[in-house]
Amino acid sequence: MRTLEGAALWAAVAGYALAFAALSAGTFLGRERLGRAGWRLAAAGWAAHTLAIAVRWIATGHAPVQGAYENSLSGAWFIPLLGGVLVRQYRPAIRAAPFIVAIALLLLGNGIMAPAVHLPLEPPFRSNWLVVHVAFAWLAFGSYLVASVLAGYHLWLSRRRAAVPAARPAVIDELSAKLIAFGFVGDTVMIASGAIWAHGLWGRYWAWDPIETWSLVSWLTYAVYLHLRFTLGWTGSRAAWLALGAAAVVVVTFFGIGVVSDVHTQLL
Amino acid sequence: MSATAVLLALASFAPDPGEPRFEELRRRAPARAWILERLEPRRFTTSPAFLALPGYIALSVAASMWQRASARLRTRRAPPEIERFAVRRTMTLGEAPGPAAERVRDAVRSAGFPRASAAGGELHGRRGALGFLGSMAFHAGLLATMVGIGLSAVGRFSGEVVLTEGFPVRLGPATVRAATPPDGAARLGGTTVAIRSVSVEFAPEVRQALPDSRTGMVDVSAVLDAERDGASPGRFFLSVNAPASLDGHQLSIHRYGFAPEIRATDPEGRVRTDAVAVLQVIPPGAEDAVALDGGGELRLRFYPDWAPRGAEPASRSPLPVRPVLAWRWMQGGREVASGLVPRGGAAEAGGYRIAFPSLRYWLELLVSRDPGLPWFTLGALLGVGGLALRFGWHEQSWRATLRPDGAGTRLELVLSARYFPALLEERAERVARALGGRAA
Repeated sequence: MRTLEGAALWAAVAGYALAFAALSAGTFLGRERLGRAGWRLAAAGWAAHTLAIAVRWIATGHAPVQGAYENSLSGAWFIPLLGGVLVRQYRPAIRAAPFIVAIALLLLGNGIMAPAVHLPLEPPFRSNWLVVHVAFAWLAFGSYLVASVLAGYHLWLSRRRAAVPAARPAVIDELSAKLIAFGFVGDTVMIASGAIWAHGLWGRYWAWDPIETWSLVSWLTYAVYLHLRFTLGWTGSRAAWLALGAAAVVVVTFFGIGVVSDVHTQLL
Repeated sequence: MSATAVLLALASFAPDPGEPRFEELRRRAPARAWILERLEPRRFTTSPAFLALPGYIALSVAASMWQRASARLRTRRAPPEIERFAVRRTMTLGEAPGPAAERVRDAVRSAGFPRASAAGGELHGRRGALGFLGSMAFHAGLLATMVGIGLSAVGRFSGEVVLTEGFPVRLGPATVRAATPPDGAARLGGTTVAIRSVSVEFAPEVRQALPDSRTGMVDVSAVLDAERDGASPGRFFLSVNAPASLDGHQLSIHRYGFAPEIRATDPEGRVRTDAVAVLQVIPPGAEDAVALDGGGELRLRFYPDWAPRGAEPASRSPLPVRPVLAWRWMQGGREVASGLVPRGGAAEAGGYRIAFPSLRYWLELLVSRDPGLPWFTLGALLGVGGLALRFGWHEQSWRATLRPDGAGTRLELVLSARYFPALLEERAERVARALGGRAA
């Protein structure tokens, strides 16, 4: 099982790495065929990634959501999926795909550096809320990260409109906002499910531990984004810069506070 | 909201005032320590200065909901409106108005617009009520959550009670420790609880490989018996993620450990303790102290699965397979005797005798009562459902006017949406491509 998992994982890494190279050539050198090949490579990498997750799930007997390795494995899976849905909805968004694949690669790389030992699920994690909480966390953070890639692409596109005549910056901007709205729903489910789960486990639904506090900070940041966008009409570059800033908060929440604090998952 | 987010972000970096380095800071820089102490998240988020912000947000949300609901009610009988962003297309289709209308319906529907209704020579569709209701539900959920948080801040009770297998405990201020608020445990009076059948399970594949760690533990469970004055006795199954609900309080397993029964006799034959000792299991091999009657203490280390590594005492696994107690008798601050005693045995050194007749488990249960939880849960449900409706069914409408034009049909199409004008343009182009008409 471990051999199969390892092989599938490295196949996924190879697929994403090659896809990154091909998609980058497609985007920056204007080689359309390479871009299409890159997309197929990313799809193959994602299929191998899915296999690695399935094998891990079967081998450990639980959803791969415990520890840095499993969380990176699962979290990175959502990024190409969201990217695929996005490109399917608006084909010119494929030019942002190298960065989407790069995020998946970085996340996987982060996981590969952590121990991958098979461990049973620890007592606090033996709850139906676990999968809901973690899956929606990754869905939300994946959406936010892909939205920030689109925001960056929008900024680039706005300055080099002639470089990609098929892509409309305004559409890219709106797709970014849609992804943020989608991620915000996931973020809300993540926070709500975590709070209700925490009450059953620790007798309180909120304890202001660093991760809880920063989850709320990132939720509030995106709530501000959505209000500025949909109520006050912020669009274009202003909204894109705001989306990039909000993504920085997500990165701090997950990879800054999450790495230095273990209070959030206190055990027996 | 921005101010709240920034203040929370700052507060998260404030050190815990209980930490030793904070004491050091208090000595070195009292003014800085004073500020940081007030920024500590738990304290900061219950301060009136901070609570004013969510209070202001709640008022603003309530006012906004009222304004929007009133506006909605005023316009509910008005004919379907074109939304904020609109795209107009006029074209001539090759077929007669009847078949053309069918094609328009299909093309508009496949571009994600609402289903068509017909009125006179016009087709139209509208979606929006759910989006509006979703927004209202989300904001109502936000208010309910804030009410819940407020009720929790005012009325939440939490405490801890340690129960040893086979020893009933009457819940109340005397037995519930770390009670917050201190008088909250009085409401528990009149209930006696006891635990039995405590089980600590480890995954079989790792319990041998990782003996000195909690890694590999998969569950802690027990049966809780409760007797209430004037009520029938209750029995509850407890495990880490399965708390018991008793008289409006939740009892959840927080920690566990071993509780060896110990009888200590000094060289004069006086029994200095005859009780169960509550020993820690984390960190493994931690030394615990038990006070002795008449002064002195017994220091104990517990090895659940005795398997010494050379001269070093050690445990092979965390399971109580061959339990052994290492003891040191301290008198006047110095060790006067020491030894090892297995379960069911006794050991003597220098006239000091320790007997270890039986072994039990102890559990520390968190006792909590939170009047804000139902409101918080309601708020969460409304919030999630409301958001899904808001973003899944945002306001859109369209109108198509079809008039005979020679052998064909002249189509005037208006597509509109509350949000996303550029995507609306894209969809309008898809509709136009699907209809394939000649632009007029």
